[in-house]
Amino acid sequence: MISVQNLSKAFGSNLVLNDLSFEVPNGQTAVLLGKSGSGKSTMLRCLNLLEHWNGGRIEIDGKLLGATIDCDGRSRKWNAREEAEARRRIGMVFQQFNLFPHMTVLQNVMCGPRRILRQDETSSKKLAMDLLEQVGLASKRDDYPAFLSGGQQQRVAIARALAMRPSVLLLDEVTSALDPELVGEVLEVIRNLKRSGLTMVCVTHEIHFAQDVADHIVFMEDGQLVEEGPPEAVLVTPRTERLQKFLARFHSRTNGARATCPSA
Amino acid sequence: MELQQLINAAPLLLRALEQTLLIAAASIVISVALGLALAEIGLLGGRAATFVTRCLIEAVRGVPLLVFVFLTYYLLPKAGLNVETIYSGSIALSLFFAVYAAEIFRGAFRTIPKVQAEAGLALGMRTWQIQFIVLLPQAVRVALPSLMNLSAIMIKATSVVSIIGVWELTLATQEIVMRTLSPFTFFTAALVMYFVLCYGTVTTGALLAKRLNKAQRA
Repeated sequence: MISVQNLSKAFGSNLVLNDLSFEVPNGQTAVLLGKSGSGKSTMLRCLNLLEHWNGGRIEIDGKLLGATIDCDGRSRKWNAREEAEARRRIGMVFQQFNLFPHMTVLQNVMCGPRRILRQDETSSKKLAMDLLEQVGLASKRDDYPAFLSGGQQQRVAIARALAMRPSVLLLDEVTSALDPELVGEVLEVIRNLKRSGLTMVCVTHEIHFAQDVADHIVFMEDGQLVEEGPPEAVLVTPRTERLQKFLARFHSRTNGARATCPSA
Repeated sequence: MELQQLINAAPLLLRALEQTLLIAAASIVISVALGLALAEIGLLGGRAATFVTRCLIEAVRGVPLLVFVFLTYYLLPKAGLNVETIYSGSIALSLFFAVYAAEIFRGAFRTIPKVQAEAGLALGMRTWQIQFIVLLPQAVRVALPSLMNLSAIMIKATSVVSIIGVWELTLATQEIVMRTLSPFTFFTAALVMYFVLCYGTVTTGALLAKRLNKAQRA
């Protein structure tokens, strides 16, 4: 279970996370929804210690993230080694895939188990091939990322993150950089992961994505939690005016797009 | 007559060429290694380390090679290192060109997007793992053509160490010219040899870079 408690973060005088609290039970998929600048990506990056917060705390499975409490009750911030070790249990997938361009697909996926966890070649390779099979890209094992479509690259990136056997997977706008026709294949992979019971936290501004994968939606604006709940409640019967506005803008935009582009 | 002279001197010229190659190869390897180390210190070290490497680089860049060679030649014995001129010359070349290699590496690292390091971080890599697994292999590919170009410059620069009496292609040519009084023949011969070496280096580098890129870029 991921538990975020009263998290605050400021870049200078700009408060990007403001007293944010939510929980994600194990095996559930939470979606942080909001427009750009709402602080949702920053929140996700905090969960992987890519950002450090100023106030509040994060616990994963009851263990404090980013600091250790001494026996005399004082907290000590983690050093680089402790942070790296924690990140090994928390997978992250980026909007722009960020595959290593000098490695083949297989090398990308093997990189974690082989070179970070120092498992032997045979088992790393087997794990990597199993994961590539799972995302439907086993046949691309010897290709370099530049020869793959965006959707394929993103599936490899998911396999690369899964190769570390993370207990939590963080997905940062993973379909936003993709052509519309490639979104489906990535969503399919995420749905399968959800079925397998992996705990996931996704960031998106796309309501369809949230609708599709979320067990729980956290709607954010200006670094604050505005509304949260299961998708059928949050998206269908929003209680707050801010969420109603967000949803209305979205609906008018998609309707507008349909009006100008009838074939879509 | 002149052809006969050339044939007579050929073994000597070839031995001199070998010396030049040896000096060049050693200096290139050392200066690339040192350059990489300097670049890494500049990238990873604290503000003080970065400042010191920056000063070193700027200082050496502002000195003519010839002066640097003389300086090394006279300073090494003072530092208690009585080495043969060939070593003194090679050390001077290695140190002098290390700063250029460092600048090439620094520029190459800069072209690698920041998100690459972040991807490594997210996987749980330590700083040195990010450097060696993620960034360096990419930076080397970017740096390769420039490094090969630097190597060609260094091959030619080996001629400068003849000034402190290192016996290599240029000094040997001078000796032969003094004996045969045929400067045109022998300096042309030396020129051709330098040209073949440099052209070969640059072409190999370009070929290598092209092959790497062809494999990895659509």
